[in-house]
Amino acid sequence: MMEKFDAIVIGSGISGGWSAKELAEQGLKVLVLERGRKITPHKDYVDMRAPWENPNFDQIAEDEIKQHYYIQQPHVKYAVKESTKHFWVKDSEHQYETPEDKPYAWLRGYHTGGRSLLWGRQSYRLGPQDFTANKEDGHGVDWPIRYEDLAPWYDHVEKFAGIAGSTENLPQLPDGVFQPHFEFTCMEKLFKKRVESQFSGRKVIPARVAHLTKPTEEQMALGRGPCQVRNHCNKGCSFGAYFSSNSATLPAATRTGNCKIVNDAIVHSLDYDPITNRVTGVKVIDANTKEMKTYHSKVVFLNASAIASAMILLQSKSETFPNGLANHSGQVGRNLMDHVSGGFVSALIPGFENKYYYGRRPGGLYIPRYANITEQDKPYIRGFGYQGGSFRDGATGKRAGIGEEFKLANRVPGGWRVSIYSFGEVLPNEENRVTLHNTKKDKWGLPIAYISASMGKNEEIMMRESQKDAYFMLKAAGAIEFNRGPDAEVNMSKPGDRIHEMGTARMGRDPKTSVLNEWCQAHDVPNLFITDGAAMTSGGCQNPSLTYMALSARSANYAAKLIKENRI
Amino acid sequence: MDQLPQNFTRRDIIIGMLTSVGALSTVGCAQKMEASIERQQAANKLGSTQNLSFYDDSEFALIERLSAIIIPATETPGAVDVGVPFLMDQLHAIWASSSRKAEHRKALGAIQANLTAIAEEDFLNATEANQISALKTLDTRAFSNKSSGLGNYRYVKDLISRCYYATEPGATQELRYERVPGKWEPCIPFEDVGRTWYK
Repeated sequence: MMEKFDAIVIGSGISGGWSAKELAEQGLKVLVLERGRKITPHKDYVDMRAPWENPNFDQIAEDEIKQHYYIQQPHVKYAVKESTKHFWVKDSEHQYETPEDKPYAWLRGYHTGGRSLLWGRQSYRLGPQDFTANKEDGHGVDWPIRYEDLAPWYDHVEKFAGIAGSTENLPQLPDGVFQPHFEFTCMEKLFKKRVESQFSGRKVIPARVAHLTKPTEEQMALGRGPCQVRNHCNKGCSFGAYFSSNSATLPAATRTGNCKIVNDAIVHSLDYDPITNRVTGVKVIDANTKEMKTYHSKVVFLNASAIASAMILLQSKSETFPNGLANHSGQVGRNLMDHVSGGFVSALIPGFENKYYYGRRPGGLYIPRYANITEQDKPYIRGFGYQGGSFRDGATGKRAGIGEEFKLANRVPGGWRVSIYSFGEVLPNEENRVTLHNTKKDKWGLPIAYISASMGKNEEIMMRESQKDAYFMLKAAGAIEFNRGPDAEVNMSKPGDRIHEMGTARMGRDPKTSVLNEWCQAHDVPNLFITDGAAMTSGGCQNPSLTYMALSARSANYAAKLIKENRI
Repeated sequence: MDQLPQNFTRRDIIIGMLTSVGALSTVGCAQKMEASIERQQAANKLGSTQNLSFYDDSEFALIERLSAIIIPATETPGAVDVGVPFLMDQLHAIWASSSRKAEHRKALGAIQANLTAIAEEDFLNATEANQISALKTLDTRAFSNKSSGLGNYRYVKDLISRCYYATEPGATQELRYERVPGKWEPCIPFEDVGRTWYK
């Protein structure tokens, strides 16, 4: 007998996990379809290995990188290792194309939890200014919601996920429900004092990260424990200390008894019934056997990630939607955004040579956006924040000396190095888009992605200015021995490189110019919700995952209400 | 709860949990951890030159001499004691591409030639005192002038160092490493740790 579901969630990553949890906790029968394999923590996580247990510095063989990881590894060198390569796709098996002059880095892993296992865990709310920016400067369309609409849902997800952060009372970066933050090093305290005293509109605050520092009973009941300060997060976390679908939302969803997860289920398309104007089924291909199967439900949540969700819509063609499901606006696949980096300065600040630290903290400092917030004299619109931190240089072979003298010199750490790098907003641009490749298909017979995106002039100017600002802040803090000067050539990150895909099915007020309404519900198809990065109308400059979580929780509760009231 | 992962001992969990809740002080933790770490001897990892996968005998002899002189055994093991020459051999056999392998061979040839010129005799057959003297001269030249054309030596020296400090004795005896710190202390006296952290 065919299983019946109230909701199908496509994708088990950071937003899919939230959709599944909220829907299942509302009593709905939920099916999660994950295109990748199942993750088994005790087999897949490698976080308890010491460095000497990973041969060759844990590097993937150079020939193997060239053959299989030629996009993933060069863009995510810090995480794509021999011991962790099973968390990343092989580029050779999951191809896509771009125009030759517009490289795009599509960085991803196909497995339960998706990139929630791999993310940087930096967790910031968008501010009120981010929801009005499009309307004010005319780029993109107006968000159909404002900060106040999402604020309670930020509270909701922060409380469950566990965010370590400090209360700062900054209007542009609202505070949240925080666990104790990771405190600054003595050098960071000095850096903060000097920067804030010389740049009155700028703040240096502790990074806000999705790590448990004081777990709640609810979190511990899911088997999660406090962060062990190992900074092995890219290897999985056996303590469940950082938020992931695997450690938090999926266990919460499945413990209700209402949620089933099917792995190796690649979504082919969504079936659409023009009479009822509803999605009626999700057609999947078994990744291993290539067998086709269709699942049915009352609502569908598309949480496959911005590019993949758009592709599923584009693949779902019908007489009503010849250009892809829910695409009467023609906006599906357009407005592909990321964040942009480029300003980067690292320098030594003298002092505190007799001080050190204990532990490997998973996040450092954050300098919230000040451009066009507290400082208005900028040659660009919108703005950027900086991430960074301080540490003392470690032992190195890049120093003079041999013998005992060399060993002794390395026993004493180097000076305090403070590094900051910018994360800037990328403007929505309809020409940055993903489409289905005209001719090429993957091994399951589905069209591969054709991604065409580039950074614009505003991003270029902004990053150039962020290099200058970074230099002068460090200079004001007393830094010496800079790695780069204020006018150093800026090597802007390629689109995709920041791994913040957004915008391909944007929310908006007008069905003619947007795909989703204020509930992340398709304007054209009422029982279709999209709550991953695709929904983002603009990107802000903050790391976006927390916003995906809040949007997913909000929409899932709305959808559950509609189902219960038989209004969908 | 899922089964514990490989190499994840109950001791690791207990130490992590205790330190998380502040039951162990930093000083106490560092010292107790150091005292309690079960030393894994590197002796069995060394193998013999018959097991080399990349270097020929003379290349291996050069790497071994460089390792021994740059990072000798003191009150802690030296680079040869912990098997650095074999780790370098494996690194190039398994990880390196053919072009990197060729570059590395070329670098070793240049280093050997430079050392022989400085020693005014075949470096590998020189007395230990002459070898140390020649290497000291090369090292000084390489680091006093980055444009000296001795980048190949700097690269190989760095690789030897990286291999050494990435071993268990290098990370935990010569430097300091905590597998499960369990807590974050942002500003403590250096003496409480005593040496550079490995990573």
